[in-house]
Amino acid sequence: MSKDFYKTYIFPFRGIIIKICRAYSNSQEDYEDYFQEVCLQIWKSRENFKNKSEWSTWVYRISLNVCLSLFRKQKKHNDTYSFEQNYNQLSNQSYLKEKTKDYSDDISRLYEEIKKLSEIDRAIILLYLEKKTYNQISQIIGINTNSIGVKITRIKKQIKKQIKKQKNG
Amino acid sequence: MDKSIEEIWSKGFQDEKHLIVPEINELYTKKSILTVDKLKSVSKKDNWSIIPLSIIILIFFIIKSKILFGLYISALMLSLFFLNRKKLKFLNTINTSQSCYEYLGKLQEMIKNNVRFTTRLLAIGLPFFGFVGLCIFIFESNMENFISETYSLKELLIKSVIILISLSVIGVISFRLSNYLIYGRLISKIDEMIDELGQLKK
Repeated sequence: MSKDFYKTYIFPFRGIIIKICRAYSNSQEDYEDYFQEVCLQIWKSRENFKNKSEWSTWVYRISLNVCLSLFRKQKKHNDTYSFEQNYNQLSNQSYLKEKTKDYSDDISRLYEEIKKLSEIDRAIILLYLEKKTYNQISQIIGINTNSIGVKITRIKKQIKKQIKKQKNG
Repeated sequence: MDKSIEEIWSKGFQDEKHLIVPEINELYTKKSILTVDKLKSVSKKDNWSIIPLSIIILIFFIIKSKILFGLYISALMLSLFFLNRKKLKFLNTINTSQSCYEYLGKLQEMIKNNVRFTTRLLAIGLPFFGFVGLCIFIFESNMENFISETYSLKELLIKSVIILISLSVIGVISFRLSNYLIYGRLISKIDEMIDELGQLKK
């Protein structure tokens, strides 16, 4: 991968990749592996990009595919995997230093809730939060556009309820 | 008032400059080490499976009162086991602290050499060992008189050649097939990685 390719086609979209990798990984090591694999796959699939969609949509699609496949592979290997334990380990390492201090705790809490969702629901909510239209979400994930709205409402309700519960508890 | 999740997200990530990007280095190191480890464990298991198989074959022929033939087959299988073990020692000499492009290249070369060697062994060696085995079987079954009386020398020669050639072809095909089924994915993964590493080097 040339530096130019990285600078032009990956670095400007690092936010997307980081957010998706963070939603699917459970430790610092995993997160770095996921990030590297996503970058590699973007580079490898560069010739398959046919300009039919925006480059960012392409990046989303690859990031989600790679993360989902790595996540499933890992899930298979770690049947006895303890989410809580690994999540704590990950939070302590604070590998993402979002410097918007007022919101960093909220972001962590939000991620905590996103990570409790099913694989597909995670993808849907991430894309929704990234302000992707239902059409774009449907294009990226391959789910019927009509069902996306219903799903988003349900996921948002679920997350809000959990966050509220945590705050009160 | 509670912040909405949309607000948390957009405010939390409003400045992407603050996102720390993991460094991309040694992209293939972990992958290569995992592949080598996998190859080691699969080859080891594959080789060790010869031992119980040879014992089963020996027991089978003992039951069938063909002790000599059973011993011969088992001895051949054990030789194969030790031959493979000697070859597999090479895998332990692979230094994964070297550049992965180098050791994957060595591994690829070793696999190719192995496939070439085993194909030759099966193509040439199997008919030879098969012929010896056939002689032992005939001798042990006291069939030598029956065969010499039933077939002329020419017939016997033609039939033997056909059997031995078939043995050679079946041996090579089954080796290639089992090699593909057991190691196919790993081998293509190694080839793919070498190819990508080569491209990355450019």
